[in-house]
Amino acid sequence: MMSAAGRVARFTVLIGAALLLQVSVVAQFSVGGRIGDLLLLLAVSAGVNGGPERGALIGAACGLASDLVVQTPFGMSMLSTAVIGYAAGAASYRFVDGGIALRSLAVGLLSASGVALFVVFGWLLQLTYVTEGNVALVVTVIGISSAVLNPLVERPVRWGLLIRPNFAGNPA
Amino acid sequence: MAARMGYGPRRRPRIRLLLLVVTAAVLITIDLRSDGGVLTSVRNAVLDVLGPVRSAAEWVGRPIGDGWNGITNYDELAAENAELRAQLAEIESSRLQLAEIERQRQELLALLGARDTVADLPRVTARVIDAPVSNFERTVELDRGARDGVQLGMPVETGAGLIGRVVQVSATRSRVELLTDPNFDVGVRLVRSGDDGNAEGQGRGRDLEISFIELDTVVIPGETVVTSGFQGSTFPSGLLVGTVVAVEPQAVQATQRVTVRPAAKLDRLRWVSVILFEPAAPEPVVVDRTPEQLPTTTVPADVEADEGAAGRADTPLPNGSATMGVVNGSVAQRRAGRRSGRR
Repeated sequence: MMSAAGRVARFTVLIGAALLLQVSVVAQFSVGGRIGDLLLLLAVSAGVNGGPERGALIGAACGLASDLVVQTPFGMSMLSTAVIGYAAGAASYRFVDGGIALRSLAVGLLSASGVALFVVFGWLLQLTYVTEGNVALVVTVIGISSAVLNPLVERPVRWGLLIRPNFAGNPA
Repeated sequence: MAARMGYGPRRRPRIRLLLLVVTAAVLITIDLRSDGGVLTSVRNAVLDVLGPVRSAAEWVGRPIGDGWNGITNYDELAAENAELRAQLAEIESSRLQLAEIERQRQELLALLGARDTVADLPRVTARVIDAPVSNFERTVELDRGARDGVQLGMPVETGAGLIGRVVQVSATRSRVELLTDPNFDVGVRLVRSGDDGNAEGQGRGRDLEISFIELDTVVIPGETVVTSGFQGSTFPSGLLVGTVVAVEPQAVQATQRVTVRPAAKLDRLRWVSVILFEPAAPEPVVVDRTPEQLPTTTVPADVEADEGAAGRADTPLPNGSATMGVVNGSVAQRRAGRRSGRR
C-alpha cells in the first residue's frame, strides 16, 4: 500500500510531465492554429479510469497547472477541468468496461465538452478573446486529439492512480 | 469497478467537487480584482522556468512543426506565398520613391531643428516564441524580459508597424498584447487631417476602430494612422499603426467611425522590436492646499453681510470647501493623466 505522500508524488510527476509536454511538444503541432490539450485529456482520463472523486481532484490539479501558463483568469481552467473530470467519472460506468476504442471515443467527446464548458465560463466572465475565436474548430481539434492520444495516456494515468488493469486489459 | 466501490459515501465526491468549485471561484475573483500581486508573481516565475524548455523545444521542433503546418495549412501557405510575391513586386517599385521621401523628410527635420524621436529610441530585438500554450491566447511570448530592459507597457513593433504593448514581464520573458485585442487602445493621429482619436482593438483578425472623429473631418481610405503620443502616453508619437480602410458616419452621435487595418502582419510573427520608451513625467499637478495655507482675505463686516454665505472661491471656510476648485482641478488632471497613460 503506497502512502499518501507517494500518491501525491506520482500525481505531481504525472501533471508536471503533462505540463512540460503541453508547452514544449503539443504547442508545436497545430491544426488551423489550434492545438490539443494534454492536461484536459489527463483530467478526463483520470475521471474515466478512477471515478468522479479522482476525476475532480486530478482535474483541479491539472487545471491549476494550466492556469500557471495561460492568460485567462487564474482558476478558470481549474474550475472547468475539475467539473469535467467529475462528469467523466460519473459517466464512466457506461463505457469503462468497453474496449479501448469506446473509451477513446468517450474521452474525445468529454474533452470536447470540457473545452466547451471553458468557453461558457469565458462567456459568463465576458472574456471576448475566449469566445470570439473559431470555437467549433477548437472543440473539434481538442476532441479528436484527445481521442487519438487517449491510448497513450491511459497507462501513465493508471500508474498515477494506482489502478491495475483486469485480465481484459481494462481498468479494474 | 470494484476499486471504485470503496470511495465511501456517495455524497463525498460531490462535496469535494463543490469545495473545488468554490476554491476556483475564489481564485478567479482574486485574480480579476487584484492588479498584479502574488498570482502574477507566480505566473512570472513559471514563465521564467518554462522559458528555456519552450525555446529548446521550439528550436528542435520548428522544422517538424513547419513541416506539419505545411501539410495541414498547405492551401493557406500557397495563397500567402502568392500574395507575398505580389507585395514584393509592389515594394520593389516603391523603394526608390521611399528613399527620396525619406531624404526630404530628414532635410525638413534638420531645417526645423527637430529630432526623429521614434527612430532615435533604443530598441531590443526579441524572438517570438511561436507556439501557443493554449487555444485562447491573447498575447505572444517574447524571449526577452526585465533583464534586457523590457518593462510593462512598452510598445512593440515590427519593421512594418506597431503590433502591441508589453503586458507581462518576467526576468527573461515577456508577453505582448496585440493591438487587435479588445482590451487594447492607443491614442492615434490621422496624418492627413491631423485629427486625434483613440483606436481600439476589435478582436483577433479584425481591424481597429477609431470612434468619435468629428463629422466635418475629411477622412479618406488609405490615409496613414500613427500614434499621437500625447504627454503621459506609453507610446511615442509617430509610430505607424495602420491605414484607414473604411469610414462610416454615425448620424446620431454626429461623429464618424474609422476602421484602420494594422500595418504589421500579426500572424506568423518571428522577430519584433521592443521600443524601450519611457513616458515623460506628466506635468506637475497643483498640490492640494490645506485651508491654513490658503491666502486669507479680511472682509469688512458689511460686505460680508451682502455677499452672504456664498463667499469667495479663495476664502477658506472652516470645512475646507474653498479648496474644492483646486482639489477638483487636480483630481481631474490626475484622472486625465491616468486615461492618457493607458493610451
